[in-house]
Amino acid sequence: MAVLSNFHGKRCVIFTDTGGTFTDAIVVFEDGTFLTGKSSTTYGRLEISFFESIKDALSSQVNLEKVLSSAEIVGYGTTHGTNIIVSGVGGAKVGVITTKGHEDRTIIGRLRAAGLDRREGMHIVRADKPEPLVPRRLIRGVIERLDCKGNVVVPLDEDSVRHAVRDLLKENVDGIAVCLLWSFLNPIHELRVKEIIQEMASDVSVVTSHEVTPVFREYPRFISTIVDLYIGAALRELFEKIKGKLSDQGYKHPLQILQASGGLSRAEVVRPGTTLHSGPVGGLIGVEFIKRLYGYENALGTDVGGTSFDICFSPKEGSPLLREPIVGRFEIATPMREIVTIGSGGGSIAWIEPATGVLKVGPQSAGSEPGPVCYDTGGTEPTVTDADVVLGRIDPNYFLGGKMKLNKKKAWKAIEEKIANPLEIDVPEAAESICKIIDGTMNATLQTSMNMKGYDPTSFICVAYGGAGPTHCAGYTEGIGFRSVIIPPQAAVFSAFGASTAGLLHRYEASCMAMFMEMDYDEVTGKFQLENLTSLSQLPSEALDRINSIWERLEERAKDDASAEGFSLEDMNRNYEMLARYGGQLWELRVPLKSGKINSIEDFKQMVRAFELKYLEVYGEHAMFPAGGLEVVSLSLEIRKQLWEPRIPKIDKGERDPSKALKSERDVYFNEKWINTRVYERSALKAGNIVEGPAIIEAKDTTIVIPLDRKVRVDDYGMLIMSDK
Amino acid sequence: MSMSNNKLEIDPVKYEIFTHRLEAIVEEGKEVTRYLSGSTITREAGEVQVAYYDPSGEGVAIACGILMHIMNVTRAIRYMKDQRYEEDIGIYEGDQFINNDAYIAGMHVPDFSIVAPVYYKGELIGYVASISHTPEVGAIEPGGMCPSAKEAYHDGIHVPLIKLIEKGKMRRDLLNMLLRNVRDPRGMELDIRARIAGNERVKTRIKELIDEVGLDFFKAASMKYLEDSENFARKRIQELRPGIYRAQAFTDSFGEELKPAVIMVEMEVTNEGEIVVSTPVVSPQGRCFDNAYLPAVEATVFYTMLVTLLPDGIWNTGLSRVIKLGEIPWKSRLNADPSCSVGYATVGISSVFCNALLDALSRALYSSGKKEEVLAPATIVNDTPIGGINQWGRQFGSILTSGALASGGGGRIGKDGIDSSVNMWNPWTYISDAEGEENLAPIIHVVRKHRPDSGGPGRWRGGVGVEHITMIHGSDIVQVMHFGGGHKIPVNQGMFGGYPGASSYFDWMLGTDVYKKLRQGMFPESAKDVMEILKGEYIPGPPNAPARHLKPGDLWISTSCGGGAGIGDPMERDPIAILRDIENGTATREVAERQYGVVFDASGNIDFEKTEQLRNQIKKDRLERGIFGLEYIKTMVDKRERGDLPKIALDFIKETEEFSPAFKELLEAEKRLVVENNVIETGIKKVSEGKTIMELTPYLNIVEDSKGEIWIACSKCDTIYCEPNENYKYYALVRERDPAEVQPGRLAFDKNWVVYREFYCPGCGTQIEVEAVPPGWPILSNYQFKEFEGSKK
Repeated sequence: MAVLSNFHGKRCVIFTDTGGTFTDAIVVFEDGTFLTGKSSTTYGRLEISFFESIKDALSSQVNLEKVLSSAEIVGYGTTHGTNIIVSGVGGAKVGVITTKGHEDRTIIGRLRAAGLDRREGMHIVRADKPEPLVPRRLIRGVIERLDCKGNVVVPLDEDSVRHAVRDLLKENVDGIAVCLLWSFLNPIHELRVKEIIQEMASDVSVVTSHEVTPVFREYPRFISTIVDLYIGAALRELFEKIKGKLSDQGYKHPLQILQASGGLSRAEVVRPGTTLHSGPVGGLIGVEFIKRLYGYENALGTDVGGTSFDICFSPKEGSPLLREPIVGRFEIATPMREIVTIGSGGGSIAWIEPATGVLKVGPQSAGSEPGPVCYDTGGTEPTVTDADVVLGRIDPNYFLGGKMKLNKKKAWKAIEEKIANPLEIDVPEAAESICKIIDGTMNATLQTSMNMKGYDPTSFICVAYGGAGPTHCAGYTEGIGFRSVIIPPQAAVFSAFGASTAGLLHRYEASCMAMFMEMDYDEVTGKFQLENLTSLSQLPSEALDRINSIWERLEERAKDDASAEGFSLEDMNRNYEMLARYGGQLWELRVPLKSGKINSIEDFKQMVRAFELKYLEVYGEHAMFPAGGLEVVSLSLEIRKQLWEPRIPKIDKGERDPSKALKSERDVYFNEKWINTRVYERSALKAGNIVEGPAIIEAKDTTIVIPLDRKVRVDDYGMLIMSDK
Repeated sequence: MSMSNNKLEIDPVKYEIFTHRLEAIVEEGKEVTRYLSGSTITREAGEVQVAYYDPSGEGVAIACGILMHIMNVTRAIRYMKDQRYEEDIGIYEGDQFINNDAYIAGMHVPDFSIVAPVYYKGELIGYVASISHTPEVGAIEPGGMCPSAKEAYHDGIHVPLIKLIEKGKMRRDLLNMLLRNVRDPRGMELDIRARIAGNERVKTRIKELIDEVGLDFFKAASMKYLEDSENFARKRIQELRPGIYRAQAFTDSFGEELKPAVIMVEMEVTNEGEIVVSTPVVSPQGRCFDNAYLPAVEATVFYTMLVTLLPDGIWNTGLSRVIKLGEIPWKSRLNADPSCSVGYATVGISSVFCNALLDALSRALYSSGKKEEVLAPATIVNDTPIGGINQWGRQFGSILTSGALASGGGGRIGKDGIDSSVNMWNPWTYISDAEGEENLAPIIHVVRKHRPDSGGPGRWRGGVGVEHITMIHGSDIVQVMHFGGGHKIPVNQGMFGGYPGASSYFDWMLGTDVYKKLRQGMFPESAKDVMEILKGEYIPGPPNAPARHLKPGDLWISTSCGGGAGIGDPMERDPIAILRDIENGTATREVAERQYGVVFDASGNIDFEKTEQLRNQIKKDRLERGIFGLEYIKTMVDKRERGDLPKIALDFIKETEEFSPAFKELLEAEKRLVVENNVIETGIKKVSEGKTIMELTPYLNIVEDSKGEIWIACSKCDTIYCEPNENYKYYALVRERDPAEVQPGRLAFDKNWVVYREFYCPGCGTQIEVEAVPPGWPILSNYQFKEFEGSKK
């Protein structure tokens, strides 16, 4: 951290994140130095905590107006939308117009147990459906029907529309979501319904499902459409308040909103649904920043907080997306970056399963309230943090830089009574077991999630962050064989830091349902015989036309949005992808493409080869199924633009020997014994220092544990690179 | 540190991490198989399982999307041992064996499993297996669950554990034979490849895991994992009150025609924390597709326990050490010989069995003080297989899961049943999107909505099901059939005074003018509309409908998803909940008035005062019209003797009596009862200063009176029924009703097949139980507690 008086007039980026309990702010200056601040989230008036958190970061010495007037970007991530959906409080009164006969679609639901964990889902007697976002009485059917090719089977009965709209207006709905079957292939009826509503009531907001997300499968598309209205008004109101105050205080640029797809969009154009679950994506954006900084191809991020362990992936082909993510208890069709989460964190509770006598850690967490026993705030169940304290890994007098004194005695006693005595082992052994189990659980999750995606760890770097990430990363990365494990200087605030490096991003996806059947293939290799194809005329023109017209549509929208953000489409990085499968399969693979439109037979061949390559990589040759032909289900286009790139300051060079940063020595428990261990101060380390395990490196906001078989190298940016000895 | 585990010492930390790894490995394999499958039922309904087995066949770690197959492959591995595969056929590294013989493992012919031995440094260390549902198996009709099948040989190709891959190489001759025998070879091949890929993935990971932890540890930890599962389950069962709990369920599903069948379950909870499930009374096997082999019954017992008693338990065969099968009569509908067809075993007869078991288990839970865990029976799956050439010109064969799985759950204590999404065999029931199915098959789902009043009435009603109108569109080479039950007689029983869910049906309407009418804005929303609005040939049908060739515009109307059973006396239902149901389309006012004794005012709101008056009057009527149980038995025995019962009921009782000695004994016992109790006491005694020992049902307590005598008494008015191990139903008032009085019109069952036998408290008129049974059927005794044995009578 730097001295405050230096900051006046420097260019900076401010990013604020409204979470459930706290609102965090980070101010990152062009030279890479940064300040962080925090305030309690002020429910009902979130704009207050927005500004309070920034003020806290700047402290009283710096004038908010001065900083805001030199800010390049003010970014905002918010859980407001997610909270409205999860709590069911604060949402708009939405009416739905849908295809007659299907009025119960969103009430029947799709996956009843969506949003429940395995154990909750199994327990049928308690696994109720969620309360619907729109109750049945606000849903009306209209006579119309398209088929799966987008053909009109039943024309829109406009009288039935007017009747439905009148009914809903009588109920005083704030907005109407138009959700018709197959509208993503042919929006004719949705568009007409929208016109009629606007003729009848110009003040009612209307959204149509093909505008919000023109993709296949109606349940998630309908829910996304409803959500757009349900949380839209509240979000827009909040953004307006913040924007007004920002401009009053001298900020000259647009307010940028963080989306779960991993980038920013200005508040005026952001689709509400894209803000859902955007919180953890900051870490991913930070990982992408580190990749750029070093020129790595593949990276993943691991975030250990108080209650959860989050993994995000950034392979060279781009970060994977969840197709139909779950928000609260609802599956939506707005893609989000995939963050794998399990209930393991510093607050995870250690307990003994009574029937089997097996020691378990988590998934229950003491959270921040009552918190671990050592916080001395009423917690009685031993947690991972308590074990870290007992083992001497965390210094009870230097937690949060000494701001919070931890009660080691209480932690010791809790582990003794609840774990050590029943298992008839001593307390340090019990505490080490707790750490090994939590590390092992995270390790298994990490390995499985990479395996499922076919990622090879030896080509990945692992970035470890979150308050407890650096303390446990040696354990949870053990034996995986990452290229390296990097602990950044901003580890404890890495998600916020990452979000501050976010660029503009818009994603578009539309389903085309294009089939290429009856293609020749080689029975031995299982590959399509593309050499026989010489002209596009050998392929079904309907399928090609549909693909090309969707690419045109997506590019059109991209162009509009780019210009709304003040750029031309050519200024933006464009990523083309398709979702495709062998005919007959029911689930699609995401395949990156070099370009969009198919203009020549070579373009087509490239598309098919890209699919085969990806398929082989993920499922292997036994699973190839060319007999089914190729089915392109959806296409997607992503446009990105990096607005700002902070520079990470280089630190002073030093020798290999880190002794100058040595602050103390203490007994730390490793591998079933107490070892006198050197403790270093992170801020005193120099580039080129190598700290050999066993050792502890302490920073104000986190503690890095280096076991016997590991070492840490300090690089020019002050990153700690952990590797085997 | 270490934990002792018989011979080997196991590091508990390493063990805990090991279990996470092993679970993650099988989960990964399951997801691989699921995503690669082309079967809706695998991909979207999640009917897939991948597991690791030790060399003896114990399933150590099992990942399943649905729970039906949880114990199944164990039997396959044991079959390999019994048949001396290792010696006679040879088991080598890289082999994979394919099975769909449900008599060996699985539930019916579409359940294909592929079993692969796992070798580590030359030693056979176990097996991995993946099992999933492939709809098209070359049976007498498309889809593998064929109402017209009468014997196993109509069920499609049977593949009894044949080596498909030898030392890593696919036996193409065999594969070709499999593909030649089915209507959708592409689907078959896709699914085979999906299972192989899942197995390969798990094999690789298991070897990696052994590299890491060492083979000795791997073996010892696997053993401990089985023991832990056993211990966990035992401890949970010990929370139940030891005793015998009985329940029954019926079905009319048979084959092309309907025929009644019964399953009476006896669930014993032992003092040692074990559960033994037997079916002393069950109908004989038949020339129909709705039989089950023993593996299906075993699977049903386990999934029922997992989703109720053990949702947090460990999923492996350690459970089978505490949850056991007792006697399931041989050559019965639940333990058929291998010549019988079992097409509908999975979600037909086995689900009926599940309903009876759930009823018995819920009674155990209530009387053990776990009221909040009580779940009245759900229903069975009625479904529509479809096959032919689709609108894309491609051969297809599938089951429409959007229609089948949105069933209602049973009522709960304090809450209604969950609507339109409950299948006990699949906690992760997935109701497919209409668009998903319309893309796959040449159909249009015209209507898919909640079926009002389909949940069983009760203080907490059963969850409602869904009704459909679906038409053919875009192809004229399509075959459609339907299987189901619960048309003439309910497949579930209400509990504690609640009623069963409503009757199901499946009607055809052929050669319609539906396109024209729809374009004219005339929209058929219900079966009634279809008949009134559309022209065409209307064929009302029972739920089992053999395949028909259909053309565009032909349609069917089905209540594919039935309603769950209700719990508690409907006269106690909160009128506000009734209003909410009407608003949500889950009930209609007309039927609610009949079922719940509610009175509406002119504006459609509840008139609370008049409702209370009416409900009191209804209770008075019950006291006047009911006769004492023993007296009722007397008339019933008399009717049986004289043959004064509907023929269908009489034949059914006769068939059951001839097949089942236990049933014969029940009939005899009722006869003896009539002789012994010539004079029936009809006075009402109240317990004074009773101390409640246990709450048996919401309306019955077991109490100790001031003299230290123990009685079953009404929890509302203290009326004494009888001693604790007697059948309280004999001392209640009984009234037999035509089901149509409760569930009118198409909700009604056939009174020749079933009557609603209502039991009322003789003191206060509360409806304490309802039996939905064939006329003349003996009264069931639901409880027998060891702790009260040896009391006076």
